[in-house]
Amino acid sequence: MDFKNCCLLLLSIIYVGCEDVVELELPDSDPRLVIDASFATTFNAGKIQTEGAVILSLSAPFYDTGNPPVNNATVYITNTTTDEVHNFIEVGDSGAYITQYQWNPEFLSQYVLTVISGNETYEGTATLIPTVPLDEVQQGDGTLFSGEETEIIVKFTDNGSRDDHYLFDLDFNLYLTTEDRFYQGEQFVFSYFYEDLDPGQEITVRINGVDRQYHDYMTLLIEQSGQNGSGPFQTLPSTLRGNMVNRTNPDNYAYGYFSLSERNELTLFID
Amino acid sequence: MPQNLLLAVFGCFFLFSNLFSQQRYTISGKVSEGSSNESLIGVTVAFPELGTGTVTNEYGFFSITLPEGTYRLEISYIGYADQSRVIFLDKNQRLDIKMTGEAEELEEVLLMVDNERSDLRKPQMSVSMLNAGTIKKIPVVLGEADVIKSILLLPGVTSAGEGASGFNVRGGAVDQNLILLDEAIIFNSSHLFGFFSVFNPDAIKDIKLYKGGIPAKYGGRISSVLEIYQKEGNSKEIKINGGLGAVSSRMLVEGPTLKNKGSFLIGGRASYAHLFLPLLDNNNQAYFYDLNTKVSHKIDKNNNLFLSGYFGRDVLGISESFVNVYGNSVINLRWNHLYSEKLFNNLSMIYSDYFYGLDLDFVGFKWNSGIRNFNVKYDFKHYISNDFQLNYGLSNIHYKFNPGEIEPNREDSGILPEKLIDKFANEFAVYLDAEHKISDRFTLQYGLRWSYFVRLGQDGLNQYPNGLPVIFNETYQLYEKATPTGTESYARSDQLASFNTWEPRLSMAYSLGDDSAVKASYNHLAQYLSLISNTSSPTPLDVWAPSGPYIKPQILDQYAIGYFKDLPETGLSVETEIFLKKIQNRIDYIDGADLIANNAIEQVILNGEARAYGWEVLLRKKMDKFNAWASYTLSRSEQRTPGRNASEPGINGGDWYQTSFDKTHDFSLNVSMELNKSWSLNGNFIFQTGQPTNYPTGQFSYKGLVIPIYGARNTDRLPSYHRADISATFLPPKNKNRKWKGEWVFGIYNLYNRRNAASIAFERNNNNGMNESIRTAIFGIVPSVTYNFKL
Repeated sequence: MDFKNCCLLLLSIIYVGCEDVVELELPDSDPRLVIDASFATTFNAGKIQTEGAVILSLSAPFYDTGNPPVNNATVYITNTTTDEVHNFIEVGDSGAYITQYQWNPEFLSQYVLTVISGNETYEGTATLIPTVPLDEVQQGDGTLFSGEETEIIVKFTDNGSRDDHYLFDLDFNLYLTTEDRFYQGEQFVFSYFYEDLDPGQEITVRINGVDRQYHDYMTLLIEQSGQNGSGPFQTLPSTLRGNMVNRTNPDNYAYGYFSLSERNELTLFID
Repeated sequence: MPQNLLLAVFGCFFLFSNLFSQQRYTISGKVSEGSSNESLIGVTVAFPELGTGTVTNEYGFFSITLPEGTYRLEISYIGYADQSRVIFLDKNQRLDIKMTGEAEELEEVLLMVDNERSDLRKPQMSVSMLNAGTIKKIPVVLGEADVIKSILLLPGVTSAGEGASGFNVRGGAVDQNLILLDEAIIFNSSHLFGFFSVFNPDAIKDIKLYKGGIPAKYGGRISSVLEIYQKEGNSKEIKINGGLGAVSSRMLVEGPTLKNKGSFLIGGRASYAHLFLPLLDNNNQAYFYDLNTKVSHKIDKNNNLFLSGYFGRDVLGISESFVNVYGNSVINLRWNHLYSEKLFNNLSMIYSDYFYGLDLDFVGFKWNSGIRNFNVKYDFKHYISNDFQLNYGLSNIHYKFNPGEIEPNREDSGILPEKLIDKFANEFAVYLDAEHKISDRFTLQYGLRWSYFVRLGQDGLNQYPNGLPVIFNETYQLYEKATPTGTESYARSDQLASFNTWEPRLSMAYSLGDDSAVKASYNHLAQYLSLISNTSSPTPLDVWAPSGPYIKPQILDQYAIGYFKDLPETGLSVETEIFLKKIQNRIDYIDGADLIANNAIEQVILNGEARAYGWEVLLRKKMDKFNAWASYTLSRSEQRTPGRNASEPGINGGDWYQTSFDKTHDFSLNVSMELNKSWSLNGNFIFQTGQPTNYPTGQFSYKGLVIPIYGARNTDRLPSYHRADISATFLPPKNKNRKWKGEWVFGIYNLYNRRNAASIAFERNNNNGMNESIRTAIFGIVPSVTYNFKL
């Protein structure tokens, strides 16, 4: 559980109700390439399936609502253990690049994602990180601050033979990072509180295995995205350097990350 | 070496003081409040014929040595009737003086008492004093009189923002303030994150803030010293006073013990249970309480004992899934002893403890952390002659740090208990400080402190390749935690690291006639503890870390020079100072540093440096029924952490950046006036440059999240902060002849309801898909009523 955010959550509630939207003149920076390349592999009853794409876009001024896609890039993933190459082809001009066939990463192999765009070559390295099954996801009757929240209780059992980091995808673009430091090998239970859920709504909770570096990256990213606003107790923002390195011009690094996770998921319907 | 020079100077003056041959005698004693026997600090004891005099110390004691003769002695203290006596001095004499109020106590509408004004002839500069009477009249949010909020009106003192905890002095960080409550160190001065301070105004007599020119008596924190003196309690009769306010209720009982042999004081304050959460569910709670106690006992005329205690807690709870309790406790035994009429000493034994506890049911664990210390101090004040006074003493503090302990709080939690490794340290110091009047115009205060800090042995200290706990990853251009090569455990008596620092202090005053003076000071200080905090204002869960193998002590040099002028005919006085501070080894945090429950803080910090400089002006106007002060500070506070070698950029590219508490302009005005016997008015106006912050230079989209992109640290500012407050105090006329005396204080905070931004967050609005800048403004207009009583 991200301990700090738990604590700061409380500090922030004092400020609820004293917020308003202001218009500011904001500085601009030059656009940079953004590489969103998250792949999640599920092993269900012998059926292996990998979800994910390489999505290329540009960073944009803060108030812009969309990010321009980056077209016509060369994108491929190399298994550096077997030298196998998988080419990714853009879907229309969406900036999303996918393989033409089902591609599944394997444990114990190393993969390099190469993106060539604007005569510059970006590379990032990843290995498939294992996860554990979700034991149970159920609805609880607890509430947090307002009494209106919906409690979802998540249970999973950590693997005691290794140090694990997990990225929970709790649907609705809600993410949570956690490491097993305090529950090594134990069954761990936590509650997550959703706002504005309606009866009958479907929720899928996903547990992704991630490595330490990606865990740290996602922790910062989630914090910086404002998911946990915390009033005057903000930390200084960080430069978000992912694992995509520009081999042509190192200063012109890309945002985003290339990651390969094993995933398990459970779905429930809200009562 | 300036230090050697200082020692040489000391030597000379020791000799000097023995050169006087004329027969001289000492008159000494204690000055106290007539009706309660409360000792009075800073009372002027003057001999007009000789043009000399002294003031009482923090225990009300004075001592002065004069040639044999008959003199007129004048004792004066604002708010009390002057006393004049003729004494025939042909032997050493003891003279205890009782001052009587010139006005009824509750009517002490003395908003700017004179002892709050700088003494032109004393070298002491950069010092502000306020008494409890002043503090209680200053309009504050929700009418809760507050020590920390009052000092924010003084030049050079700011806080990061509304609701931010602690205070910043001359561009220094919150952890650099030494806060002493009856000589005991207080680690966290805030209730409810910073909305209120932990000091009950009823139990306080005086406060004194040193922003610079810090005497050698003090050490261990580099930016300031805030001395808070608790009342001793009325030793003549039982008195009760208290108040009912919008936030809390207070009650204080004081009275004599054992036939005027002593006094006791017990004061409590508790806030109401659902502060800030009135609209929410009843299961939520947020409140604080504190308890001040003190017993004084006079053994004989040369010996006094004081036992004081403080206990305060904050309790926050969110429907049982989140319970948070934290606070300070302090117990302090002091013995005042007069070896002779010229040698006053005080022995203090102080135990203090800061506790932080958290119970998180929704993730199934409990957490606690804290710091404990035991401090023995032995201080002497030696009145060698009227022109030469020595203060010397020693202090030893033993610390135990509990960085945290986690345990499951229910059967099915799955949390494994873990204890972060306790750390131990010892801080010893010895000092000698002289107040020396060289001529009628020129006065010096100089001193030297030697501090010696030992980080004691502990279990599981990480070892790193090349001794570097942080490494720089050149591929990703990021600082990262180094992987420890192993851990080592040490016996408690082992020294993991030790540091010693010679800390010279020097202040001087040169008077340019009766009404003006120039003063200058220099001090060198060391601080061996740091508060590990990377939020824009500290939170209660931040832990203190001792210097050791991986954290170096913070070392400060401060220079200040000032000009002071009184214009007695107009009631005006002007104080202006410029200061420059340089701090070595200010720690900074690498991007993404995780500080909480971190067993190896050294893996996420780097040693950098800090500096601050500025110009302060304080203008006071004191008239019969009208008092005002205006203060203005122009300053800059910055820090930087360059790379450790050429291939590393450092933090923020190694460039200087403004600290989160930097304030370019800081103006405050406080006006008070007495309209008639029943009504008095008080008002504030505050203007400050907005807090440094970061505006995004763009955004990118990743996994469906919108991530704002930020550039260099703290390059932007929140909008300017300003507000006005007023309060009116009403003393019902029927008070006069009855025992129960009431007083109403009506206040309006943020009169014109400005929405001052405490922060601006940048995020996507999930309802309309727009990226928005969301301002958090804490207090709009807040009216309040407080009722105070006395019987």
